[in-house]
Amino acid sequence: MPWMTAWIDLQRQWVEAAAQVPGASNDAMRAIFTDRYRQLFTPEFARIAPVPDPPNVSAAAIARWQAATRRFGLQIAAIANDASQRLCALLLADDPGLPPVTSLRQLHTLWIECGEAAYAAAAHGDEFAEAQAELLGAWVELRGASRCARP
Amino acid sequence: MTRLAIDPARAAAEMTEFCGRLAAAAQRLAGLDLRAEGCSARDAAFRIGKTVLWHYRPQAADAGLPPLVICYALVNRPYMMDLQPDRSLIRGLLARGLDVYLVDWGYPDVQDQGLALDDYVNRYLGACIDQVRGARGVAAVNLLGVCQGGTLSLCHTALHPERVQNLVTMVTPVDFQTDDNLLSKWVRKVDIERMVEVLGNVPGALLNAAFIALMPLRQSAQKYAGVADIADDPEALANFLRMEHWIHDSPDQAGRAFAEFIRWFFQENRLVRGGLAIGGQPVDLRRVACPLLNIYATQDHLVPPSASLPLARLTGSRDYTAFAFDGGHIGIYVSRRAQELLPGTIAQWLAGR
Repeated sequence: MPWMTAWIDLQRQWVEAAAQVPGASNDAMRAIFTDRYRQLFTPEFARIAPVPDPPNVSAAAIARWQAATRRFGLQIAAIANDASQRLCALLLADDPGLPPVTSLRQLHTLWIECGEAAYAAAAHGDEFAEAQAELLGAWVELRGASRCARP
Repeated sequence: MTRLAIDPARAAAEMTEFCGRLAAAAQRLAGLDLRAEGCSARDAAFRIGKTVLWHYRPQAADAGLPPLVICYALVNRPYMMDLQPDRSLIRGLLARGLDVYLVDWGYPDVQDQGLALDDYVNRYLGACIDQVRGARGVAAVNLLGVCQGGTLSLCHTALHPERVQNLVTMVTPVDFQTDDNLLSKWVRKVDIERMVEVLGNVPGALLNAAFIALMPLRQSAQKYAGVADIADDPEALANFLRMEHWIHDSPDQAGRAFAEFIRWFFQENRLVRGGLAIGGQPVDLRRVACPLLNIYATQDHLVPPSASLPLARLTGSRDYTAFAFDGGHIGIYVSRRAQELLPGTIAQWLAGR
């Protein structure tokens, strides 16, 4: 989908421009908005925290974290793919009753709707709940192991 | 054939305008400082641990009803009930002559890791209610429990029915395992005891992330894109910032109490299935025999109606009323319709008993 790639590239440029808020002297607020803009334009359904201090924790905890990240990442990738397919289907729908999409904002709104629909379809399933719980459990173990490993 | 008919020149213009509006909004927001914890005049009537019992100053002639104690949730902060003058359930109640108290659980820290549900339900809430009973010279109070605070209020009333004359529950989960409860589906898989063992208290930011993850695109991308639409409206920007501040002002949760709540309510659904005991005393909703008003929100994604409505068949009350509010979990506190409907509904219902 070349137009989708172009759309995302465009959004990234938008993010960078929007982050350069002139006169925004409040660093905390600026950081919050920079982060929000990043979320706003990136088709991101969940963020995965970085591994804390990996050299100091056990190999087992890291391996569990990596496996959990991969498992949850597969869920997120499947949702993103489903959302994209839903958006394509909507845009290609052969229904003269549907209005044309004439603005980026309309396209963004459709993307949100498709994303939420795809997310809801997956998030209610057992695999999503288990993958998410395992990710949380692995993160907790990593935190625990990291704490124990500190001199 | 595609519906996509975006003209490149128009798209570029749209982007420029949108970008400018976002930048302007961000600049205006950065200049606002609205970190207030409620807007109505109040006094600290009592403190126990980190819990404060607030007493609101009257704003109208006394309606002659027993004092109303509002028990908020442990998650999030209670100033949502009094966010700003035109969005304040508390002001609506005061305007109708009610004598309003609010239980504010504060921000638990490392010293509070060992607090149990027994402490919150019996010791803290009990002490607050006793304080009001003593100060106002009444045998029993009216109790309004909000969200998780409603669950705690149900437990307290079941354990101490003599202290509560009338009970109002608002967006309160009772059956924690209904099919449409996404949060419950996730939480049931979590090893909560291990989490608390490692973390001590559970970070509020973690809970907040979970709430946002229930509808991640609507609650991030869509919401923040909407800021561009209000860039020229200082009042709307201030409202937006107040809400954002509240949403992200999530207290850490006392570890032991949180683990008990997750295990007993979400994972074992003991309010419905039975077997719940707090402080060694069995909690049986059939002991909640006082008049009961159950307010739920029809579009609540955090506490769906299916989670609240089973209260009708579980309570021992013969005077049970369900009230459906057409809105969501947040709208029930701050929407214009909520301001018009809810204070009057609650005050009228209380006055009729």
